[in-house]
Amino acid sequence: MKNKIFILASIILVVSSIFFVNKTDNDYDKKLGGKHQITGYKINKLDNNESEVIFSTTHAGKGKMDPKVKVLNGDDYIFKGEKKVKDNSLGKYIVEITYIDTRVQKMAKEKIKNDNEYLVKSNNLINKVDIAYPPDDSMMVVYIGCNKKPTIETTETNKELKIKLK
Amino acid sequence: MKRKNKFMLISLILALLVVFEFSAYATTSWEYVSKPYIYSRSSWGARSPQDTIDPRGSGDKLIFHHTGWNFSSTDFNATKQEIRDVQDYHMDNNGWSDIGYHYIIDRNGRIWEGRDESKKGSHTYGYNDNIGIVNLGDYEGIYGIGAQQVTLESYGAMCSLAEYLTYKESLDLPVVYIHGEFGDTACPGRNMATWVFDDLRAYLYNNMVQN
Repeated sequence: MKNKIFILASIILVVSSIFFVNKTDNDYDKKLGGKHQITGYKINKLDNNESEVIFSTTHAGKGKMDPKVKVLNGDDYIFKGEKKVKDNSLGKYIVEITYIDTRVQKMAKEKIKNDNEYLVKSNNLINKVDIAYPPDDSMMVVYIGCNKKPTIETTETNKELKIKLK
Repeated sequence: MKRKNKFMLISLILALLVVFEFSAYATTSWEYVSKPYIYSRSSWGARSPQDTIDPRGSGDKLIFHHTGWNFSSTDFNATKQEIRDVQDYHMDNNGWSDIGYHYIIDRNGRIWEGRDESKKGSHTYGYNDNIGIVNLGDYEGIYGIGAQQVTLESYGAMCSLAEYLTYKESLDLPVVYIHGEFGDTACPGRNMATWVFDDLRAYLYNNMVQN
């Protein structure tokens, strides 16, 4: 009897651990795939010299996105399609954020594409945000164009990634 | 310097140059391997590339990937649609010139032509002068849970394609690699990685015969 109870408890434990590990966040799009997904984005103007870009995120499991962040000059080459080009439309400085195994959900992509005009009017620091896909099936890059050279501070929780520019 | 000595010196220099040229390009020559059947681009309804693509150059690796999209069908038409979906994603979402991989292997072990093999790939940043081969499916899942298994048929196709390309391109072993060896990515998933490391490499070592 004791053995049966022990076996049953073990089975319940294993099944429930599989359930919890396999449970993705509710807004994870299984068809889109990727270890992480960007579900939304917004920009907050903190004051005249500080702004923050917030990406809402969801994940297929545990683990951080931990993107690589670099500040480029406006005339540096950036990814566009499979190639690297110069893009003057971003601004004097470009923040390059490189993600691995991350996909952008459709609504977030539309918002990033359509919000640029609003951005220019709403804050002093950020000109434009754009997404690029380098020639690698696991990479994605977000570019934030600025007119002043920013210092960058990133913080990540399992629900969002904040990039503070000052 | 006497004429004879000059002549010998020049001949020696020329001979050394010729030997150096040949050794710089020396690659392994393999015994004949027949070409497996490969479905053409037109057979899956491929779109034409939307830009010119640079030539591939002389990469010496076969790099394996997965799509990361769960796909289990062996149906011919469903497979064609899945490959078209991959191409659409690469061209319309990613802004690439064409599907990024040179070959696609489906769950039934069929091999499909992707991007023109003479053109640079778009699958592994920094290593796109190598041939990219993708298996349809998700072989990683969520830290392994829900990961698809490599079918025996698709493994057979990986072997025959890798063997043929090794022979055709005179590549040196081990020749087969996974995407994750060149970047911090889960691609092509843990279930495929073990097949490449443990089985496919051994298969090539045991079966390829040098000339």
